[in-house]
Amino acid sequence: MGVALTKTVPDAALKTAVARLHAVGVFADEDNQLQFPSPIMPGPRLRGLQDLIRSAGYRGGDLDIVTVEEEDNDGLTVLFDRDRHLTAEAAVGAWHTDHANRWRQYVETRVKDWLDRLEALKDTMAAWLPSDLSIKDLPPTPLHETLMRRYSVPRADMPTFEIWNGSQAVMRVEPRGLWVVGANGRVDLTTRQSAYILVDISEPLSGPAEWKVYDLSKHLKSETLDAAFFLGMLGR
Amino acid sequence: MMIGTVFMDIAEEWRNIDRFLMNYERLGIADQAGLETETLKIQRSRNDQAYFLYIFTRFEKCVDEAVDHIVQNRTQDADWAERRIWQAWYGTSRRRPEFMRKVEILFDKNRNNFKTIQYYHKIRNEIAHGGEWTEQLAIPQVAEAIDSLVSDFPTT
Repeated sequence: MGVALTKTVPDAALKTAVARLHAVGVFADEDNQLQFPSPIMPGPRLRGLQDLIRSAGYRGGDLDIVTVEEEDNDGLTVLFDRDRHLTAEAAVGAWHTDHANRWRQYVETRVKDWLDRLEALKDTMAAWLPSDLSIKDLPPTPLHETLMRRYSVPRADMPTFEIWNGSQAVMRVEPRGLWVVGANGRVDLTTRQSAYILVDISEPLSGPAEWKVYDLSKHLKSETLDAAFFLGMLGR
Repeated sequence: MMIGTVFMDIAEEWRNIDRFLMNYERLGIADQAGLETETLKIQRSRNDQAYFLYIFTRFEKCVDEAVDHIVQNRTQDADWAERRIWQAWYGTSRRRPEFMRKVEILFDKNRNNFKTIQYYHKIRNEIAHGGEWTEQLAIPQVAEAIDSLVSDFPTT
């Protein structure tokens, strides 16, 4: 019988562990939610963890544990099914492959979500425009950021456009990027009077954008992007 | 948003320079001065990186002060049995724990606050050690986030 763990392990973390162990025979606690025992002295605590994972539905073989040295981590601890991976090296290799696949999917999802939010922004702005103003598309701004290149996610096109009053452009809307430190995407807006930074402060993949605007000609104070503020930017 | 903290003051300085660079593009001055739009974008991005470093160095100072304060609280007037582990961990003024070890004293490693600092610290190292940081930085949001982190520092 194993030694019971000393703190409550979140159900979601246990479910993820069970799902990954069933799928690829390996699970790394990337979010540090399980109490992994030290791989140096697994013994009763490893059996305690195994009991817990079995109680959550795990039906595979006995578990073993190994620590992988990773950049920015003290060491990533990997739990693996000994019936599926003969050696720790094989288990770590399986984890790396699975990790890269999951990240690729995640990056693809984030890119699609960002393009959807940009299209929604364009639609919203179009709906706010008075009848004498119109939207004119510009060549799209390419999106091919570091994470996309790392996980071989193809380049994407971000919608870029201007707002015109008759024969004169009165605002340019130019996305800058998705992976923005401090925000979930950034768009630059320029008008004849000022320059603005638009940032989405929503959590990644949490639903619709929450756009905040900074007017660079004034003291830094974020404003919510709504119809009134938008028309104000256009001098209406 | 809070105005007037050291981080927001630095973000205000950033705003003035970013506005200046953006105006070049906006007013068409760039073309007249022989500057390419792409060059201006790179300059704005480098300015963002410079100000990120500037903000982070001030944040490092806040971490030092907070940990100093905690260690002092834990060792001052404490019995040797209580203070020995703190003194051994903290070392001497010539040899202090590295930055992220000090952050571990301030925040649980499993919490978002810790992970945010870890992420910012990685960016700081990339930029400071000559690496190429290609992702965008939203300086006002970064300043606000760091402001919030500092206000969450424990005192004991």
